[in-house]
Amino acid sequence: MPIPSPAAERHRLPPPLARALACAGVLLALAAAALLAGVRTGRAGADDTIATLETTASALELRIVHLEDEDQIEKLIDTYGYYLDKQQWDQLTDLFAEDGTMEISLRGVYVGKPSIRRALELFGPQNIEPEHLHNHIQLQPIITLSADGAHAWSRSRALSEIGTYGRTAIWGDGVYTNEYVKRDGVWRIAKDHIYTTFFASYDKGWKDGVGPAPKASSKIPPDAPPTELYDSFPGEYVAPFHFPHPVTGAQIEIPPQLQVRPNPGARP
Amino acid sequence: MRGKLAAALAACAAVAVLVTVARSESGDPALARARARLAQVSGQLRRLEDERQIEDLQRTYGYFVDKALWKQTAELFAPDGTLEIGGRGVFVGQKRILDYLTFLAPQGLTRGLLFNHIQLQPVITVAPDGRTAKGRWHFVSEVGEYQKSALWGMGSYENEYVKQNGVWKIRALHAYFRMYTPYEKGWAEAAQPNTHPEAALPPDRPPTVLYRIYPGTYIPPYHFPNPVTGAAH
Repeated sequence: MPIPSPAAERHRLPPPLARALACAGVLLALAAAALLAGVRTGRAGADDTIATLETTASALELRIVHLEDEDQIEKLIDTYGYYLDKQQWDQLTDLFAEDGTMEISLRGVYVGKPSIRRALELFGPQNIEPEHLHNHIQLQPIITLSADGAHAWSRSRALSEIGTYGRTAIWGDGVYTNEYVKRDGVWRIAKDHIYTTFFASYDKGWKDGVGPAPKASSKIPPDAPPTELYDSFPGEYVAPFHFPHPVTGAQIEIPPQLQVRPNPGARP
Repeated sequence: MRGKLAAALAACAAVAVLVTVARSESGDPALARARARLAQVSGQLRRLEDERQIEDLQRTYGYFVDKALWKQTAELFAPDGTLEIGGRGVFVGQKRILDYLTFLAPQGLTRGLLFNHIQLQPVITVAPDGRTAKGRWHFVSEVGEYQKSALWGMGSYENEYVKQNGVWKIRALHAYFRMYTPYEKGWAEAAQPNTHPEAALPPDRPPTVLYRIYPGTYIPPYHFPNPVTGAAH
């Protein structure tokens, strides 16, 4: 038989009542603890839920910004085309970042807005004149944003109808591999680079009427020579892809004979 | 007496615990509604993202075909994907698709070959479950061989796409020719007939549909209803 403790001896109560009170005390304490804990975790739970909702909303906002950015760049490309059609050079120049570059065919690189504006005179005066056609339909854009959302790349193409009434009519086809930068919340062209696939006279077409891609002008010389060299049709080459294969994720390998050649005379 | 008291207290404690647990678990009904709305918005966004990814996929197809990058072209298809172009029949699976493509021209264009296929005017419809999609496109092709031939080609695609492991792939490519005409004569004076299965390249299945191209007329079926009335075509 166990020996009663001194305390139990001192507070000797009828055993049933003592046990009932002890039990009640323990239960009350438990209930109070549970209530307190419940209130605390209840509040923390609500905080967690709001925090989770905010995290989810932020992720959604990022995805929306991504779609909006792609949309704005697509409009930038399309607007570039509309200005080019009508030789609205001042407006076209303003689509570029201050330090933007323009490289058209094998004409070399024009650096910065003043230089780009001067170079555009190669294609005619500001505002197209009667009897001239300078259409450059902008097509098939693939736009890729950088992870930080401040830069972007595109591949797109132009189908061009160029000519002078009563004298010349030309088809043009080319591929752009461009870069963009977002400054002050606005997308601008950082690099405009069109690779000529062919220029062909309307009357002879691409069977017999193709001419070479234009080279650097001596009248309005470029700031730098062409970055790359290639032979337009009937020559063959593939403008480099800025994106990986959309299904395999592998780099898109271009057969060696179809690769553009770095221009040894170009600045690094 | 002792038992009743203990039972009453235990019940109190249990109710208190249940109430607090319930409050923290299901939360405010407003929170639950907000969660549901965000999930819905995420789904709506997903559809827009899917549409753009499918557009990029088909546009990439165009850039690959331009330059006869056939290996990369075949890899845009699902493993059991199919290809049907003009009237040559259906080719099933990446290997047979590659057979078809290399029949057209060698891998990587050789000097003097033009094979431009401009991809235009997409109407993409993603299935409600987000796992498949359909797309109607227009193409304009400038093809030929330097000093030998030059052709305009035009037509439309009614394609199917499938999302596998989070990546969109071409499940069925079906190009319906509208017109192929030699450049120098144009469509007032000359038009080539539709193609047909080649003895040198027998298809895995016969053409799904027989039709005449320009100057004949055929309307490829639309995968989508009239967007305004909702009526089928």
